[in-house]
Amino acid sequence: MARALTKRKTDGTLYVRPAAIERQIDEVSSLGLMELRQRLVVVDRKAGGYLHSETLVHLIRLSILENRPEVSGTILPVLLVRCEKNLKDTVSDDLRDAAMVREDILGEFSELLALDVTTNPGLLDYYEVRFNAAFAAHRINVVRKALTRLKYESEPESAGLPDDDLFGQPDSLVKKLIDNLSEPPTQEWEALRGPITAAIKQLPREERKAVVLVHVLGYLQGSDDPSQITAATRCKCSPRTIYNRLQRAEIKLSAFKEYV
Amino acid sequence: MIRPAEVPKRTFEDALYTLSIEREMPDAALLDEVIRACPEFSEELTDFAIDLAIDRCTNRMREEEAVPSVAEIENVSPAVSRALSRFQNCLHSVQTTAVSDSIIKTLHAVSQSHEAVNPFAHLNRGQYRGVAKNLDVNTVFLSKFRDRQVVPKSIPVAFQRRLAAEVDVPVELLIAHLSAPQGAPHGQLYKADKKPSNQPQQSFEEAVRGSGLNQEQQKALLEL
Repeated sequence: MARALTKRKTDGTLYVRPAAIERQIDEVSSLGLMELRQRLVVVDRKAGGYLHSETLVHLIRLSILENRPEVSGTILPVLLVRCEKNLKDTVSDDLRDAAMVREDILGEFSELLALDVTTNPGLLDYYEVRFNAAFAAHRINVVRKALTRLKYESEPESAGLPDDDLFGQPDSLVKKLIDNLSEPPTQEWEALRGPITAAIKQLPREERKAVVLVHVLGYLQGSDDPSQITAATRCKCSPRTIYNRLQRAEIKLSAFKEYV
Repeated sequence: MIRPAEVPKRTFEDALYTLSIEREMPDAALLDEVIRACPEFSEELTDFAIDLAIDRCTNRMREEEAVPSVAEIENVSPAVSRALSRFQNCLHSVQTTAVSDSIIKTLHAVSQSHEAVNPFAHLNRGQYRGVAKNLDVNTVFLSKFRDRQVVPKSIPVAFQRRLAAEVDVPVELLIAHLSAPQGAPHGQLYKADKKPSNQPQQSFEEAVRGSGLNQEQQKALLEL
């Protein structure tokens, strides 16, 4: 049985690997290098022999601990090729220096594997629980650094509309757009996913933040109860400012009105 | 379940991974919970949650893995080759560093009682300025690392390495110093009239933005 993970959830309980991953780790831990190589070239996910990325991370960590470089040297290229393919799908070519950013993500991930036992031990536990979700966190973090680098040049300014001009108007469009993105009712909506999310990304930072906090994460815009955490608390502004930011976003996304 | 007091403090990275793996789509309850565990990163975590949510809207979380073909596995790209090199170099550096984990712990413990292991302690004023110059930063910024005013986990690995190389100590010793409790070292020269007192720790980004560095210097550091 694979050693227990050490990272804990927010409720204090230990993370555990999915049962299927535990079973696969048990199954492959006794394989020789030759058999392992055969399993690594299974590319059909539905085939019985396919090795999940969570399992590969576990095997790499173990091989480093046991000083068996031949094992990590065999597995790592396959894992990195998977990651590279993931990055081609998830890091848009629209991002400036996209190729360089993808390479940074890949390189930093490989360093994370090498530094497993020396810096923040246990960080790779997350990759043994849900590889894609953990890798997404790493990817987004690196992309954010790249965007920080570029934001001096590319961040759009918030339109100079005075707050009072918009207060009191309905704000239904953005919510409907987001709801339909979460549960696309038709194929047409699936096709609209790219343009709508691109339009949301194009919003000025503060408007984008208000839209996501209220309409995706589910925060209230504001509250009379000072102990309640709302979008206004998170943005350190008044509820009215949040409302007006949402209204500005609504105007900018009005091109999608015909689909709602 | 363990008692709350036994839950180890989360690092910034822990918080990012938690936000990403605990829910299909992050929500207000999860973000609030994570920020309660890491209040010093409230703003960064909120911004990260925003980007994560937009990313999930864009890519829809796929549990399926991106599966490459056999040909792709057998003929790795230059980018993968370079990532493999980074792995090997990093692993080699970890394994050949004379400072073992137990020594790091010892150094960590020692640093709490003796200023001698402060990696900046052996520098005179000229050398100290020279380190700042070589790093293309000012001494205000550098002092934040000397005085442990920067949250260790927020410091990019690349900067840790450059700083360790400039002050000529193993990176593990530098990390042990940065992670030790705050306390201004003796033997350093200060312009202030009063004895320096502990300041609240800043994130690396806050330190970059709040040290009077010019725009180019800030950009270079934030790219790390």
